[in-house]
Amino acid sequence: MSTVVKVPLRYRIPWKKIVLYVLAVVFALYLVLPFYWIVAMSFMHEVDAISVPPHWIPVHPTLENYLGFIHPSEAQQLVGGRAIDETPYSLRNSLIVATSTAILNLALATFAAYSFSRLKFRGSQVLLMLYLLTRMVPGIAIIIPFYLLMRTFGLLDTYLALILSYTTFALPITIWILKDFFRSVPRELEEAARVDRCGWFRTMWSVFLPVAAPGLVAAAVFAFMTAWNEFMFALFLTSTRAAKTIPVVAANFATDFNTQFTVMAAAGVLAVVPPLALALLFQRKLVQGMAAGSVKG
Amino acid sequence: MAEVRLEGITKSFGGKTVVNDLNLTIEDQEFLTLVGPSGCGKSTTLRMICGLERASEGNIFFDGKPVSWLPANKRDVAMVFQSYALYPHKTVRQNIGFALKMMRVPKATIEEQVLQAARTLDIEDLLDRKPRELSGGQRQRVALGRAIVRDAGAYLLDEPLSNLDAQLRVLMRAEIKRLHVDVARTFIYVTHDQVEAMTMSDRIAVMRDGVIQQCATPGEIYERPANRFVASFMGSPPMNFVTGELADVDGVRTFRSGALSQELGRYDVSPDDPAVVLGVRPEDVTLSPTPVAGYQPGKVFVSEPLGPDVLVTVRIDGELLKARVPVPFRLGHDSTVYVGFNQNRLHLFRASDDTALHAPQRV
Repeated sequence: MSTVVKVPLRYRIPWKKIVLYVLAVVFALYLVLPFYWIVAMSFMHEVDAISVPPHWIPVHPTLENYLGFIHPSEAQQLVGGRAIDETPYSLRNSLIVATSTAILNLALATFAAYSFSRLKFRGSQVLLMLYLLTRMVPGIAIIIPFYLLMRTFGLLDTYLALILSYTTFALPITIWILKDFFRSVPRELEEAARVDRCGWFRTMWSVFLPVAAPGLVAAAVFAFMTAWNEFMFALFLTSTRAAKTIPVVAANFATDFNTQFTVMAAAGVLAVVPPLALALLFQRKLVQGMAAGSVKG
Repeated sequence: MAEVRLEGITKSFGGKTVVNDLNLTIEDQEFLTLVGPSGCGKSTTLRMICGLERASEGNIFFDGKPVSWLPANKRDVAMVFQSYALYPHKTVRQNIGFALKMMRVPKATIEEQVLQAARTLDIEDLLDRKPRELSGGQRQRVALGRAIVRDAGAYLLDEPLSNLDAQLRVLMRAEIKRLHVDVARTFIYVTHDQVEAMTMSDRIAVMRDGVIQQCATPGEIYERPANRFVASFMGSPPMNFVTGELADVDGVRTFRSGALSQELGRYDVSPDDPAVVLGVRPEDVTLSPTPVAGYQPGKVFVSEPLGPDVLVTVRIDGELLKARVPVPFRLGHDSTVYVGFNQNRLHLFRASDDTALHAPQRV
């Protein structure tokens, strides 16, 4: 004989979930709101932007802040030592410097990381730690030697000065990123390529690097962002529109006498577009587990 | 097509010798299997033949030409890896045709040969897929396809079935054996699975601690194992061993161990040291519920039905022996049973060094 025990169904409030979702929303707002505010402000008139209480949605939306970069009004020109004039140039400079840094970094880091991931040699661990140690030194501490070095070589106010500086910042981290990624690429893939009649270079080009592509993209994006966002070195090492980058120029909108928040916001939005596009473009590559399926799953 | 010859091959990794003075000739078009437990040096040997490892000492010859110093891409070999090592970013078609592309074979010929290989392996409809979209068995076929599309002198297979489930393994075993017949090339196969070795090979080289213990046909390995290791490694369930000594009882050569006494019949051997190990395969053990002359009494320890027959473990005088007997077997645990050995199929090994004393031949 068996008896059926009925368990009363009771609705339980999923507190854990609720707390989790609330925290997630708060955190998302914390991240997104400043960005939203800068976008919203870039479409406002200066008067609306600084009104209290603030207008979260532009009441009189305008494009004049953006058009100012092409044909600045006289009032706009007065602010920040021709910052508005320099913005398009600085965007171009930033793009060139960041892209070059990313490429140079990738080229150097790929060789270094491959060696660290595949070869056993004395002192490899010490060397790796040493690379990281260079990143422990605050930028401000080394900016004077950098400045003097660049001046000696006649590189002040050139792209090369920035590219070389940024490469030294990004390289240790990119080597670390790639080293770990390369280690996850099965060695058998290279061996299979060797058996399939590939020499070392061909193995790298046709098999290893395509498989390691997500890691390479992550490293390149990291180097690009490092160069794109850097402010202090650009401020010290550049002085004219020939090499000034967007963070330096954007900062010029705020002066001792006046600050044009809306134009500054528009410059900020423009500055965000390239890295954002880059992240979206490579998003799939970044998260793709390319190695899945190559070896036993 | 190639004859592969290894002469005095030794490989050490940081002072540890994993392959020791190995001499072996693999005939052209032969299917040779290197078999042994993990870490016995079989994969390392294969990798040296392939050119992925360089031998510390010794020479490797393909058709009499030394190749020891040639890298893998300069040797005329194709290899199937245990992990398959398919290129994840390439389609099946590109995976199979990659080596041909590297050899600058015209595109049309590549396409034709890839199709032919795919047809042989029955993977034509998978050609445009990426490896991650394939099942284990399909990946395994692609890995095979990548090898057979090549007109290589030797095909090296490193445990290619170890990642497949049991059913598929049996299927692919037969297919690889058939493939060997079809492509008529030298196959060197590495496995730790003695069933694969027994079923597929022309010859088997049993390895242990970097040394070949015996290299012979599957039949000979099974019937005349060179030593106790080979005897125990080849065969499932493994051979029973009983340590004892030889004695003459009433003028008859007899093996004795405690209460166990077994006439050796025609195996009249007289080693210097009477301490020996008797080996009997489970299928050569017979059981009887009633006393039989020459049979030893024992107790049923456990019985495991295998389908067509039953694996019975019997305890005799503290020793556990396995017997493979036909169904039905009705005796329960701890029942008394009488155990006899097939006198024509006994194996004797020296207790001192485990070498075979007199490998019996099937009569």
